[in-house]
Amino acid sequence: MTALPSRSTSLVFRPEAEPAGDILVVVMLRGGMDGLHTVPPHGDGQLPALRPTLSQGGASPARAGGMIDLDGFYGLHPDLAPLERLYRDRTLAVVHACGSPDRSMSHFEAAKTIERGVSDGNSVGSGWLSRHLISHRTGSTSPLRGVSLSQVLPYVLTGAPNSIALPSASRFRFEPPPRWEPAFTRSLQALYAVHDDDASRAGRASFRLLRDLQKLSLGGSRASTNADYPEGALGRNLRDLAQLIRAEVGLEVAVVESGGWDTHLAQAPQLSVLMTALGRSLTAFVADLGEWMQRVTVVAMSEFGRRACENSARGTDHGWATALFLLGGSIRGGRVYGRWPGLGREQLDATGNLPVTTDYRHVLAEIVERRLKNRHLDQVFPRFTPQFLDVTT
Amino acid sequence: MRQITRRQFHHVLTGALGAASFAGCDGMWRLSGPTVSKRRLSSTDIAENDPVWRVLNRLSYGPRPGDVECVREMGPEALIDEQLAPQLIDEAPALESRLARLETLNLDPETARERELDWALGNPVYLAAQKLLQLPGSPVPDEPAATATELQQACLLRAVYSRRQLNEIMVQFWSDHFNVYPRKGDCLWLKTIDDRQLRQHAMGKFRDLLRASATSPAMLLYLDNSENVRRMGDAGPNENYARELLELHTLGVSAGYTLKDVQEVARALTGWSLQSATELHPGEFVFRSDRHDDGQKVVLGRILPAGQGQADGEQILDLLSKHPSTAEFISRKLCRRFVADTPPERLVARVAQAFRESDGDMRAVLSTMFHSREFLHGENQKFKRPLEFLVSSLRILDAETTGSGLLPYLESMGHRPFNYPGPDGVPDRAESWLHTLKPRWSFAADLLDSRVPETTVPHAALLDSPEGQSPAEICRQLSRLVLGRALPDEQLRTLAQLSTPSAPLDAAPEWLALCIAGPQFQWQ
Repeated sequence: MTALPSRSTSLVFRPEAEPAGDILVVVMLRGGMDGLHTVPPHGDGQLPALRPTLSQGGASPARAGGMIDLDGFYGLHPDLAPLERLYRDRTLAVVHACGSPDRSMSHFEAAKTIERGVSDGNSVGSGWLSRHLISHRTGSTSPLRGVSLSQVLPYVLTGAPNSIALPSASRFRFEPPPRWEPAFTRSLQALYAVHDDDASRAGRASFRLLRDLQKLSLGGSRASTNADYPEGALGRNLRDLAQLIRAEVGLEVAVVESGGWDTHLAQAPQLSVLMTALGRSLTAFVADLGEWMQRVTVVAMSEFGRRACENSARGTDHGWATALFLLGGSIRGGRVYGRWPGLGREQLDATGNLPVTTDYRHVLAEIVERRLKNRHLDQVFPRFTPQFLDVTT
Repeated sequence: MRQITRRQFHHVLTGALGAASFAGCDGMWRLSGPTVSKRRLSSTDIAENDPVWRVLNRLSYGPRPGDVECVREMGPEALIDEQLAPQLIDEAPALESRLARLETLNLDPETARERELDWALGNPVYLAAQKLLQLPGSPVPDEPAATATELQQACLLRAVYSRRQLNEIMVQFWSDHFNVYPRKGDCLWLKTIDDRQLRQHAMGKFRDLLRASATSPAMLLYLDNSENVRRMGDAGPNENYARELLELHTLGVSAGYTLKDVQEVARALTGWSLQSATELHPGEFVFRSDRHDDGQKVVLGRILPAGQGQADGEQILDLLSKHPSTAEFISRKLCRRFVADTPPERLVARVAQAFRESDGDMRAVLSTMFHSREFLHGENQKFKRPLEFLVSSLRILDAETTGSGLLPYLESMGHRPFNYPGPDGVPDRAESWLHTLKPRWSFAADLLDSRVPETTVPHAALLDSPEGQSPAEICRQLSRLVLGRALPDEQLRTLAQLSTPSAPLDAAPEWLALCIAGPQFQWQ
């Protein structure tokens, strides 16, 4: 592995028991991202018939529109053009027709299933990232082993040890009027020290977090490189995350949210905005981290894909299989993985959905074992026998 | 920035002292306007499971000064009955004059809808969509951002000042239940209309609420039913609204319906749309028979014969609002809102029974819940969500506000009104909000340090008779006012150290901020 920039601070947590692996970043594309639109299988001749209006202007090679050919069969939507270079560099891979066994087509049920890493989201309460942090005993006492750049911890981190939701890492400060200090904060801390109700416990955790983040002095001396993050929450959160990674705070897993992929209506213009933001944000993140990308793996995934045929509002309804993006120095990129099921009537399922040919857990399990160095896959993905696709080195 | 000097403080204090003897509660819970209450403050602690404390915290956005005494006198059950009949309660003039200043709130529907459509057609995403859908064009005005903000302000003002407190809580409940995200691109104005509809039926029949939502232009746009068209070639109906109608608005996800049911509901609702900019009443609900799938449908085993037109959808709404799963789903959600995150099963069953027997009449349903032993006497606690936290602090401190300065604080806590993107609405369990303590502390400090724009707290007037009292004694009174019961002596002694012997009252803002920011005040 390349020599990494190293820096000693009081918040570096040295592994004791098991080796710490890569840092895993999961980008949740909420709402059901359309894999047939983002990574169109232009080699499958059925697509234009299923999507007479949507496959124009980019998704169909016949109509050109600037679609980027990846391998003669799959393409990349032109609004994701920034990702092309990463694909050619073999840093980016796609797994297509990927998904979970959940077929409820409900956002909430599907998200529960995919974030809990099981076949049925109601069978367990913890997330697969939580179980990874629990079972992977690195001996780390970092309060930031798991971080979600959001208001609330998502299902995937429910019950995770040493994990927090951090809406904005660089703005998490408490500054009462100076003339009240330090007595005011001390008194408030005293009020929260007495009882053991949920509020008191959450308050004590918030005070710990304030203390820990203060030590990091985020946003001050550690200015980002000139990575060109686009406007918007996704770019902002990835920028915050890159800062946390470079600050060596003991971060092991992170979740970043990207909403709005639920395109029932006028899909093309809506996805155009989202894909542009996604492509530019990920590219900026990679540029920002530089050599650090050798130790970082990014997975961008969605709770489900969308119906193969378009609906009457030039949108698509909830479907099943979709594409999953993998990014990182240890990803065997420049390839689209997975078996293509085909878009013919016989090949789609009874609802007209693209069937899942690769359970997403095969991909995640490989990353957990090979990149995160966790040997307890049976605990992370219980009652599941993973088959690695060799997406990682 | 406005600071109260010690001299001013004493001045106001002396006035309050005189006013305090005008105690009174004439059987009606007369919620005061924004002026300082003239009622006697409680001099004894109230237990957190005392029914008086319970009703004040759950049927309202929290007590105002003097309310505990008042409800002790009239009895908690009388308060329940009063609040269940909002039409008999005169609204506070102070609220009405404040609302009257919000221009977009009071636009007539026609104008509002026209502005909505004008703006929608100028929105970039919508513009692209318009090109695709060949929608008619029109001039492009600026985004009417004031609409969204004024509705949010109105929500806060009503929560703080309305005398029909339970009605306001129910409006919020339905607004979450039938959530619309006005910034999805094209329904900023229409949410204001939607709000009026929910407001009209908030304490009425569930069937009326459901229809109000199903025909609400904001909802038709938000969940895409406006573009739900019968199958043409490979393109099938849009299932978005149909699915959430079953999953989130009525039956609940575990009620046992199938994808086929969702698709049949979507077919039944094809053609439920709104009028475009070129039609007679732009933005108003319209049934488009040319878009409607007129074949036979089977929903949850019920056959809807071919050729019924709009009646298909009406029958779906009948079927769903009478379905036992809906009674249970709504009742459980109400019990979660008003009783506990995990409400007692027996209570849910009784409330659901009241729902079925009253045909979904909210007054009967709520009455059953509020008069229950589990509600009045249970040990259940609810963690305040940010809106409840913030409003309850303004109420107990008798604050004066226009509402607009408060919105950034709610945003920092993730609970700006009408700003939640998902159709599942703002969550209602403690676990979703426990992380918001830090921004609550910041708010409490800013509020009592007079740093919240357009918002003032008459700190001094809140005290009964501070002259000659020890800091610990003053602190005891303030904590009893805010928390219902005084902080324990040990904590009072600690807090008393914040003051100086020569000017004990100077620390009052800090003490109040600590009470508001502390763990106890986070519970309802």
